[in-house]
Amino acid sequence: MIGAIESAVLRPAQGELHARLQIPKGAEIPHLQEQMAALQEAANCRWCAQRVPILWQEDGVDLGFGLIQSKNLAKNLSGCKEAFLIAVTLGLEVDRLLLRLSAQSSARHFITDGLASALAEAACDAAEAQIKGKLTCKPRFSPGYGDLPLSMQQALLQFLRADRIGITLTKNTLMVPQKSITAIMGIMQ
Amino acid sequence: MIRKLIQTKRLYFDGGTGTVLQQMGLEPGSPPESWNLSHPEKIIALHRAYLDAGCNIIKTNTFGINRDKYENYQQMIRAAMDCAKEAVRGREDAYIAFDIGPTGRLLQPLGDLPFEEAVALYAANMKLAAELGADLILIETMNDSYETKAAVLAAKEQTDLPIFVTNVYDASGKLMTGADPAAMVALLEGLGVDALGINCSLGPAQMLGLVEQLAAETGLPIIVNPNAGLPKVEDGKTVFTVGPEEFAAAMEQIAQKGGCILGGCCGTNPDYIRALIERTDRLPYALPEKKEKTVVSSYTHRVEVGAIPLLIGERINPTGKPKLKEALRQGDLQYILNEGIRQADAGVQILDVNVGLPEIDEQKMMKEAVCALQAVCDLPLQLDSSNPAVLAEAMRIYNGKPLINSVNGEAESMEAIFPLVQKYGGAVIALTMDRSGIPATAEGRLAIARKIAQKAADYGIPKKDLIVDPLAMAVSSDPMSALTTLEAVRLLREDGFYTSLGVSNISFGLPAREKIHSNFFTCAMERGLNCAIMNPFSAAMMDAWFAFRALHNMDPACESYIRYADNAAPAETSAPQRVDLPYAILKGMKEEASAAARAALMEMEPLAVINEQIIPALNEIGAAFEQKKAYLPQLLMSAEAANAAFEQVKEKLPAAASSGHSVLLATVQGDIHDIGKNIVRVMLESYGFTVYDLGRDVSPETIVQAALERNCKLVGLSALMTTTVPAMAETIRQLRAADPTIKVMVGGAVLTEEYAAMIHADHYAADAIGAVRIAEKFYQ
Repeated sequence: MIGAIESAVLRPAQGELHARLQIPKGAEIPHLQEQMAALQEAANCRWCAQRVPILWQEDGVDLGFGLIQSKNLAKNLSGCKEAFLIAVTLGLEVDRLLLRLSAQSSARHFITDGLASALAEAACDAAEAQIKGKLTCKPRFSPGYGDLPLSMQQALLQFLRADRIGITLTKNTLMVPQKSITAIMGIMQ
Repeated sequence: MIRKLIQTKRLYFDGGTGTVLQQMGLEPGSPPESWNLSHPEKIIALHRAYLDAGCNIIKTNTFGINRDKYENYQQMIRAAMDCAKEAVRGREDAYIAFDIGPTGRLLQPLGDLPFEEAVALYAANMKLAAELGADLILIETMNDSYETKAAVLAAKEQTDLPIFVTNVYDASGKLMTGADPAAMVALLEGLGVDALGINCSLGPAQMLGLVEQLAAETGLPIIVNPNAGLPKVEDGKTVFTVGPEEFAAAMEQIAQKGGCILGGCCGTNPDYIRALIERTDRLPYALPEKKEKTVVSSYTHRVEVGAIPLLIGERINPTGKPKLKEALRQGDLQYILNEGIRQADAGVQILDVNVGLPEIDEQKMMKEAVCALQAVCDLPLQLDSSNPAVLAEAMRIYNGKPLINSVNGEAESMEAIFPLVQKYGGAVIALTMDRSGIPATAEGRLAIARKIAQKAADYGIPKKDLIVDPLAMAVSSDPMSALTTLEAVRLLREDGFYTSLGVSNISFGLPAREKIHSNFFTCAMERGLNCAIMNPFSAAMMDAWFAFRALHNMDPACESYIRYADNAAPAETSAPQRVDLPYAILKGMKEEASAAARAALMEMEPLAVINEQIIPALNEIGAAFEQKKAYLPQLLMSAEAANAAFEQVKEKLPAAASSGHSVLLATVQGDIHDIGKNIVRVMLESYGFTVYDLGRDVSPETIVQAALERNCKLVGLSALMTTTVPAMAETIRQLRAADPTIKVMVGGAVLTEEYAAMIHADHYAADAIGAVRIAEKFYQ
């Protein structure tokens, strides 16, 4: 599955945004409207996903791209026979916008970076809704959460053929575009 | 052979590889290239099936092979070439395209793959392809213009084979990294490829519009290799929606719109190719007409010379600009980037980049400046240097077709510049001067232009890629100079040349220069001037440009003039509020802080402004931050306001009186997070420290070298990922070895006091204020 989300409809969750900017809920965020507009203009939000059977092994799970040894993931997926693998990105123009801001204003850079992370989460929520339809799913679980290693990113992205939506990986397993998210989501019976 | 053939007849590529091999038993998810060694007979059968269907060109099964992915890449490539050769044996009119796709990594600076490493990865394949007897190189499914350029350069440098390039566009008609078809045509024609086009991602129906766009821009054969429609999922399997007949029908339209070399991509099989050929091989064949467009391009779009006068921003050129000179000496890329972004916002179409200063390494600086600018700014660049070696370096790493400044009528200049244009592509500013100087007459200048055009033709560079600058000289020293230059513009235009001028030279030596050169600008546009190298922050120049366009029917309904006039007006009424400096800093008001500092400097000594107004205000917001009464966004805004005030103070401060206290900052190798480091930078600067910011993903060697060169004894390192902390440890080790008196402070999300001690850092800064305190203590 592959799809796109109109970035203009995305709204970052309030709590999410304030947490990223390290400010208390309700506190005013300077330049918010302006930077949000710049961000939505830059964002080209896409996702790809695949529904896979879960092979339960003694020491982990196999989702089609090798054994994953992670107690936290196993717990998250417990009771599920299938899962969705998801990758979402805001696109490379957001990276360029952030790079531009980093030369112009560290305040705007910091605020926009937080805003972009929150927007990526919102995009993931929107993609999730499109992907699961009427199915009931477990909360998303991403590489880097708990004991789920970031090193699986390569195999996951390759399996999803996330290059179709422009996601690449650096040698240090960092996704580019930077505002990209991968996740595993168990399907409840 | 192929080069000749495509002049006269329609050629056909084969279709999909991966999707067909899967039907032959290849496991989904396992790479098609793995079968070259394990199932050569199946690969040969695949090629033969396509040849039997009537195609002329088969693609080797080498799409995903490179030195980075496979240790035995050579063996795999040999096996693939053997299969292809076996398949074409005994067949006439069958050719082998050595196939190569993207590396899967993104190039620096947005990604981590250095440009030259990308070239080297491709070069290894290209070299083998030529040795093993491929008939042409097919660079396909490229979704990034920059990586496409790396691959084409590798092919040009390793082989003499014909180079075919197809890019993958999305439904919005752009590459993943932003280029539209016109931008790709500019880049690829500049590089001298033999054919270009589209493949993958879309079905033939969705490609029709793209083919039309390509046909409107290029004179080269257009390649079209679509998917069998758009993929959809049925029973958990990806299937394609368009059958062979429907595919062929849509391809017929594509052939009529200018598609010259046709084939298929994902989801297509020999049936599609057979249907395609039946449907199109009797259609009349013609190459697209040669286009007489003069274009330069960036990573997103191309700019065409001719329709309206173009503005080339001149602010990134150190001549007469002390602040830029200082920035260049300090290696301050941020300053250069800002000048670029501000000029783009002011409305120029092209940015001039000249970083030549006798005391710096111009080649290195040029490379860094071009890399940084082209990552964040979507305007084409004019690469400007008197040193051909600098131009060569810049042209090589430029992501598009550049404008080059400049060549002149001297044999030496032409022999240095034209081979570069031949190799890398570009349009060139041609100065009408030679060994005997600048001719005194307009006719004399035209004669030099003609001579340059003749010599360019010897290198295969068309006249349309020359933009002639007949040189504006100070009217204060020669009363005829403006008239001569204006007449030269007219003559050149009449003779079919496009023209450019460094407009402001005309007013040299006169008072209120703007009044003279903005009027000269209008006169020159009247004579047909096409490009002006100018200062977009000059209101008089921008007035002249907007007014000229409105008056010459180059601005439908005067729309851009009206927008310009509306934006220019309120600036006069909404002058910054008058507040005192500490208040402006506390509230994070940049403009106001700058104005308040100017006011304070009238009454106080510069040092007093710092010590009695700026620092106390910063300390107050810093304390509030530490007590969680103020938050990071406010703190940063205050720091920026303080910096704006500092800029004003610095101008009044005798150089000797500045503290000279410096800190060198970098995000370590492998890490491309720079938020934390930038926050520390702005805070340190607001406290008056000189900061040398080396940027992100910086190697230990570069950091050591910079610290030694700048004699900077305090180094701040940032790392945000556990995977990059080893790079931090290595940097500290090398710094210690180079100079034991250097102290290192570290910070970043994954670091703690203990972790910092473990990698032998001297200090751990928990946040930006912490870093300031460490620096203050260090210099006490």
